[in-house]
Amino acid sequence: MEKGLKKDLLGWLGLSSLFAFLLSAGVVFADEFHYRNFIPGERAAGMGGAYTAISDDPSGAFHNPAGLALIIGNKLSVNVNAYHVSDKSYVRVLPRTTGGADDWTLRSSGLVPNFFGIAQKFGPGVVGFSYAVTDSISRHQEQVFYNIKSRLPNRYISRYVININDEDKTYNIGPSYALELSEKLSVGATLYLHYRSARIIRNQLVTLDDGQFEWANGYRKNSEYGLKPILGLMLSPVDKVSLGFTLSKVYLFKSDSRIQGTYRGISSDGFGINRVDFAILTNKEKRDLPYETKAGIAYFPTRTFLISADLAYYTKTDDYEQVLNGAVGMEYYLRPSIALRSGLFTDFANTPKLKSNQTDQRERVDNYGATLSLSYFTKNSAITVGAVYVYGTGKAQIISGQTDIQNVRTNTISVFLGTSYSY
Amino acid sequence: MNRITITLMAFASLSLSAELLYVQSLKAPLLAEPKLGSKEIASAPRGEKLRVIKKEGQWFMVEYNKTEGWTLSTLLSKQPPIEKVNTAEEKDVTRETARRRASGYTTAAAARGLIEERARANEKYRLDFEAIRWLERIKVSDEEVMNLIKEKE
Amino acid sequence: MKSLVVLLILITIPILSLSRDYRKRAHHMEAETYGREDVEAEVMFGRELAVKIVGTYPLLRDRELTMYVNKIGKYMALYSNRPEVEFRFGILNTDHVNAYSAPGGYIFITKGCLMLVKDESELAGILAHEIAHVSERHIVKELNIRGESVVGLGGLSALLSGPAGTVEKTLSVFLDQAYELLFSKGYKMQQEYDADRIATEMLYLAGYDPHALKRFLQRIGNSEYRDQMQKTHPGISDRVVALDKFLSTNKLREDDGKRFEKRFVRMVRFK
Repeated sequence: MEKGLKKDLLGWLGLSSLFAFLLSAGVVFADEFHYRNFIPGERAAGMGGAYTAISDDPSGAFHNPAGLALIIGNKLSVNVNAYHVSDKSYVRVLPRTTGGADDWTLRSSGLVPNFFGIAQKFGPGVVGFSYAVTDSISRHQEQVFYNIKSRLPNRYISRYVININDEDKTYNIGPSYALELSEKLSVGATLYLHYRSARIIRNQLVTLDDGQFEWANGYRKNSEYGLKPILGLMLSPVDKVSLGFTLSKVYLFKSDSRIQGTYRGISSDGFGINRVDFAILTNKEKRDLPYETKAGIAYFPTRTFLISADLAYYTKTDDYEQVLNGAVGMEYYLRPSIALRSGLFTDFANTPKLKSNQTDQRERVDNYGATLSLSYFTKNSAITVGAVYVYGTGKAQIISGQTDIQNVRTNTISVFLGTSYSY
Repeated sequence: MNRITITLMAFASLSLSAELLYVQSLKAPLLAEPKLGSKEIASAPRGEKLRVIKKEGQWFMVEYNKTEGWTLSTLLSKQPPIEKVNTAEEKDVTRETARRRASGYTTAAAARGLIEERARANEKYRLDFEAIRWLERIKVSDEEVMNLIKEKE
Repeated sequence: MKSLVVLLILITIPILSLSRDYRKRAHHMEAETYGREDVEAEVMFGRELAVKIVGTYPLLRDRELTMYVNKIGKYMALYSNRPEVEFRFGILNTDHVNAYSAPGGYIFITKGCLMLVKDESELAGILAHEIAHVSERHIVKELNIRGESVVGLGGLSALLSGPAGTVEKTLSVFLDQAYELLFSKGYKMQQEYDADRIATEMLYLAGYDPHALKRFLQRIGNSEYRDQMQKTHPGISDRVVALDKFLSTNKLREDDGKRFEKRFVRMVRFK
């Protein structure tokens, strides 16, 4: 869908050097190229998301609904907020006239609710209701570059001002039910409403050394509605060992996209005529999202220590490549009232490897994460502070219509605060 | 053996340490078998520490003064016995004001405002504080209680 | 891939009957211990509930009789694991046949119930059954009645954890639940079995006839009062069967303890 849309618009407008960036496949959507942008729940987040075989708190609704059947106590609620800061650098994008090249850097920060959930014993099972933010980006760029090489003969860009303001959030909200079929087997299901809302605003002014200028403004709005059923299974084949399995998929039933572009170009009708191109494009095509299957194992050797590992597999779809991610996590009680958790995880891109001699390819950045958290427990409550660090490295083609491939580096730090309460 | 292995073993040993329980009842008998009717080998008075050897339902095999025997878990608990908690009479005056709150719910209850809650509760049930105060004033001596079973009919 | 599937199937074959107890973490164990502040909260809560109980059925203000019942009750409580609780025993002036226990040691027996009791050991058994509900913290655990945690984080977490927390925790909601438990829902069947068993153990340890509670239940089960009692104490005949089994496995005979029939008849007289 992305590609078709982009070609229409570009064909109509005529290709310009940097304006295409507005609609370049590489950056249009915030982070649809990864499946693990956020880890909902404070315990799961502390353990690198290796939680499929644990899941015995309200965030189990997201990670493995079968785990809800195993909550300890009658009723629990969890609330997590996260503050994240990230930067993403496209290395050496803009060649300077004096030699060398400037990086292109996007920053994102914001405080977002990460998870809220409650779970309560009800009849033979456990009911849950939760709200998870699975992706949230508030990205901005306000950079000015001077003396950049241009593709026009004998001309260079004396000043290039770029302004970006993107918001992209994905929410999951809905009920869960879990049942313990036997001491060794429990099952559960969650039905989330998937809602995504994105707003992308980009502005740029390119001034050439002879006074000519190119101006572009783009505004894009996306909304997506879908249902995300999650089915889970939890097994305890031997004492102190738990296995978890889940299957889920987002079925989109509505997707709306609207782009409004205004462009005043150098090459459209020439300098002096002051012609402005304007276009509005809409699209209702739905993304094809993968089946997600997860398998996890957790070992609880003592009351004060546990380790867990997860594998998550995402099938290939019309829009994305298949992905396999892994995670490991541990939890250790320094004292009965203080728990330390940490984890490592991967978050690989769902895009293909970039090929040479092609243009407008989607970026491919592989992320590696490390997590650490500390919880303090009182009799019926807990407070957790933690941090998630993600390092990403990969390739991108940020400038439309060119075969150049850039290196990309990302750094993200999220600091989260979680509280839980049992009744 | 590397450092990680040692650390892991240290973790494991933390929770493997022997479980100690304290006698809460007047006394806890140590019996020869996990059966009430079986022979009493020893008796541990309130406050004594018992080391748990094994468990069979509510019956725990424990060690006390180098003697092993079976006793009932319902007579024991994890903490040493604590003094009588008597909050009723002493705090009577403050507690019957409209702001009364049980300490466990203070924060939340205060947030909602217990005053309206109390009014609502009063509509629903009849409350007889006076009767409870009367009951709380009934005193019997420890001696009378202890000798109850020894007395003749 | 195939071998992985085989492996998974192999390890999922049930080997032993296991519980999921291993999931409990260190802080859960910590939460199972009760401090002074928890007992204080329990007593305050129990007293509120007791005020409602005597608001429902009036308290019989017979000083001598109440002292007698308290002596037996307090004696039985010596064989519970709650030395920190000041148990109090009241008589409710109603012909309904029942007994009630509120957390914190407030225990009530109805006049109707007392009239069906034949000797002191039976009364001791009934009171011990109610003491067991308190000592096992049946209501305390059901409603998670806890004292203020030391650093007050509980309140913060309750507030941060959303509106559910603040609404749920109001005292009157809890009292409503406890009241409903006592007067209409009743305790869970397993809790009744446990209380019967513990009461019988207490009878034996205290030197009373260990068959006393069973005998009383049998009498109720065969009487016209059965339905009244069944409302909150279901399955009386099942409970008698369970107690019979318990008594025989433990080889407990009727003459293993005293009954004090004469003393009971002398003391319990209604004007």
